[in-house]
Amino acid sequence: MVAVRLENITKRFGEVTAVDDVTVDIAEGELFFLLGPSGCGKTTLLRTIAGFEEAEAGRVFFDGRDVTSVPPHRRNTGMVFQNYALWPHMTVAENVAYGLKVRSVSKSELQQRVASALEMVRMASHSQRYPNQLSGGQQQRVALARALVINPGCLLLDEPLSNLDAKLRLEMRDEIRRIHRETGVTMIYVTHDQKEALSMAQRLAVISEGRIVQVGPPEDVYHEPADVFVAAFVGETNLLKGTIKEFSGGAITVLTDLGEVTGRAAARIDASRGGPCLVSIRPEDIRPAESDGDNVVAGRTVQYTFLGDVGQLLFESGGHVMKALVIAPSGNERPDRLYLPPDRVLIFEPGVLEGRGGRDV
Amino acid sequence: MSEGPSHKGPGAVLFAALVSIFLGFFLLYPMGLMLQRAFIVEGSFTMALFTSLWRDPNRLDAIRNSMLIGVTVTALCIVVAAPLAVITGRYSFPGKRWLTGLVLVPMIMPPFVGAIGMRQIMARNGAVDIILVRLLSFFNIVSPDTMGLVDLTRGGLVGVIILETLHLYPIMYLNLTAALANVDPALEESARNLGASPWRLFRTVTFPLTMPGLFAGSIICFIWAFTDLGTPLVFHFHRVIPVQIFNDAKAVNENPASFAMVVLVILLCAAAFALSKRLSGRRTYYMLSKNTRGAAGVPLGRRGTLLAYAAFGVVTTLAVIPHISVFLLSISRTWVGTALPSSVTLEWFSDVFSREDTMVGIRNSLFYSTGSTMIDVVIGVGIAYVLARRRMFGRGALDIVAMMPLALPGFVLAFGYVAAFVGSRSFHFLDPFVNPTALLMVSYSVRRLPFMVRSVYAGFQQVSPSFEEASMNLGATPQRTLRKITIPLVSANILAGAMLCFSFAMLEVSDSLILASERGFYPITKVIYALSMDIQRGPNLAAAMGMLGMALLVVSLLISGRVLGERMGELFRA
Repeated sequence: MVAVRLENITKRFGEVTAVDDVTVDIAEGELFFLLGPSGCGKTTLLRTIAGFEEAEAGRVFFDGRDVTSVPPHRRNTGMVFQNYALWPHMTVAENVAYGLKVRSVSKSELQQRVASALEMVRMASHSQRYPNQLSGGQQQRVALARALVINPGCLLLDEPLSNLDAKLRLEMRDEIRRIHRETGVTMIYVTHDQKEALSMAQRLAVISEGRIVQVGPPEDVYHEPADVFVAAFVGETNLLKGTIKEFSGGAITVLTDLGEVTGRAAARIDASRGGPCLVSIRPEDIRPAESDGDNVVAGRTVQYTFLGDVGQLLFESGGHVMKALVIAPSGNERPDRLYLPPDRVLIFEPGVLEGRGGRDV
Repeated sequence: MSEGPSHKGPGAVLFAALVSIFLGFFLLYPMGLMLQRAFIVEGSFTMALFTSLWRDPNRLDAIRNSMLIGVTVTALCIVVAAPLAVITGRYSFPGKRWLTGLVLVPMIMPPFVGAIGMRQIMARNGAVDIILVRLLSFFNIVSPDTMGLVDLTRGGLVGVIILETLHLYPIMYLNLTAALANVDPALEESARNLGASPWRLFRTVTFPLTMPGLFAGSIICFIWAFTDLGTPLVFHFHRVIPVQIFNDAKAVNENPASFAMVVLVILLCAAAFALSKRLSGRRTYYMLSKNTRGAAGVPLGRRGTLLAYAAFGVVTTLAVIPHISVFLLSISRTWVGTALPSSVTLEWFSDVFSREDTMVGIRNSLFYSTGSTMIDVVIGVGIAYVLARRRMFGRGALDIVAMMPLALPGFVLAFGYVAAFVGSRSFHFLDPFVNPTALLMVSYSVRRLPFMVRSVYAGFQQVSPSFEEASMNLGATPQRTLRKITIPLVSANILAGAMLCFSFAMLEVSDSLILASERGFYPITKVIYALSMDIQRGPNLAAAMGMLGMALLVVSLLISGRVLGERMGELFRA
């Protein structure tokens, strides 16, 4: 097991900068996520750790040892590919045994380690099958076993669940966490699925356009997004344009189309300059209100959707539609006022959202 | 995001260097030498050799005839292949798969072998002549005793054109069907939707979109017909470029004008190839969706189906006449003045296996072809790997050089070898007039290298690079990965390519005729040619050997077709 350090990694493909000066430390035994939209450079970063991409600049360290120029086959990483890459001309057992044969492991030890690896992923009974005789989920398990059996310094997973159906995906999330617990291996996991990252990661890095925007435990990233991109990409949020009216301490009062809203300053905002800003509040933080008051917006509910445990409101106010989640049934499915708790309202610098898939209200 | 590992191992660089030396020495060097001998006389640049071509009526006649053959055959191929391509590309009917398979049948025999059989049935008092006399006398137009009404072999030009067309139309068909399959049906449907009549649709949408395929097919047909040596030789039609070069090659240094003639052919082929690339390159349209037509197509009614069967039936029947004639010749004891042999025998086949000259030919060819196939496997797999997997300096140049033999006529390469190595003191061991073994292997392998490269390249494209990355990730060196993962995964494609290379090498005509000058070194094709010139028993023996060659080609085409499936056609495309 190794600690991985990426230092000032930059990687270009022709004119495109896929990874732009990325520095990050991943602790030994950590389950670390690289999260970002497709094309943000997260897979390139993973392939740089594996040695399949040579970075134009920067260094890769395993336990403080510089491995930047070590070729892929001498890095001792285990990689799980998005398409699994199980060799079709070998059985399950042969696939898993491959890395051990390369390492000249004795025959008896090899058999024993292959068996226990297949045991670990619950595929022992399928060892003589060929990959094309397996379902997607089974292939996924074999790919995991093949990467784990060599006792890799770190396990690299490239969108491992993206080819599975929804139910299997949830199941495999728990499986991978169990395997992480049982092996204690350093895992670096690439995904564009923010729910996957939030539910599994010990820490995650949010990546956008080749840069790391924020690193931290899921709770921190979710509740204290560093900028409006993270707020919109990790979880769902309502965004409003506004103008800073006044600030005192951490509290900022903003003038919006819905009236005055007071909230907290996000990590990277200089409120003292005044001017335009973005107001963000997550749907689950909004509550129906009985009467007017501070941070209460008036309008009307245009749609109520029953989702089982919660209900979802589409609420129109000041020419904007915002989304709110309420406990269902709440007894008040069509409120005409909503309360935005000031400690849940975040005020961001404007302008970083353009073209990044956030929802602008 | 990536095309694969970007690490440049020393192995890859070393391999690229070796391939460059091989192709440089055996492809570029002879070509350069011919260019030099054609343009530079006594140390200075001159066009004198070319102007002398123009003043020599024999040379001019040969150039005219070759051009005529090339253009006529190409036009006839389009006429024959286009309707068939439209039928299979646009409609579906029962038995379509079988019929489309039949289209490829003519390819299983080199046209000069067919010519040996056709000589028998197209000559005066041959089957065609006799049937014609019977027909006409039945209607009392001529007397039944009339002997010899037509002789299609006379002069030879007509016979050559017929043989070449019947041999080459499948190549045109493969190119046209591929082009048609590439046209997104939605493009046509939207034109129909906007009110275009079927004819207008064809003229304004379908035809322009299939132009690249038409060009590609035309270029190959033209070059192959223009440069075929065997067929005119068998028909004793000597007034064409390849035969003149063949005769010149026996004494290279006596007639410098032949260098000008060869260079003329090279330039013409290069121009045709460049033109086709340019036209098809500019006209490679991006299709928005991958075609969904595939196996589907508009179902034909009963009458339509009958018409489709008729079209395929007529063409295929015509196309197998040479094969049938060779077959009949190979089993006929006596066949004089009758439509069919009057008595049959298998003695020619047993003769083939008991005579010394035929057995030497078979042994030689097996040896040469095995050697050339091994060269093709090593070099072809390597080149395909570099093209498909490596981002390496000079990759584009490698691609062009490796594909060059497609446009390079066999007799040109062979002539270049004769010019470069006959009487050579530094490369004495390569002198073909001393021992042609090495050069025959090399020329067979260079000529068929594109088949190998394309076949294996297709395999690499179907194998995801992550298979190889997974292996390296688990600690295998690039060499071990190549051995344990990559090669096994493309082994079927290597086999298919090797089968094709081997069987085409076994039946390679022009380099065999030019490079092998002593009986002891004759390969099969030169033995067949020599036998066909022996009026007594020769043609029957030649036909029997041709039948064996045909059997070999059938087997290898079936195996390769099974492996490559739809992509088989790519091997025969410019």
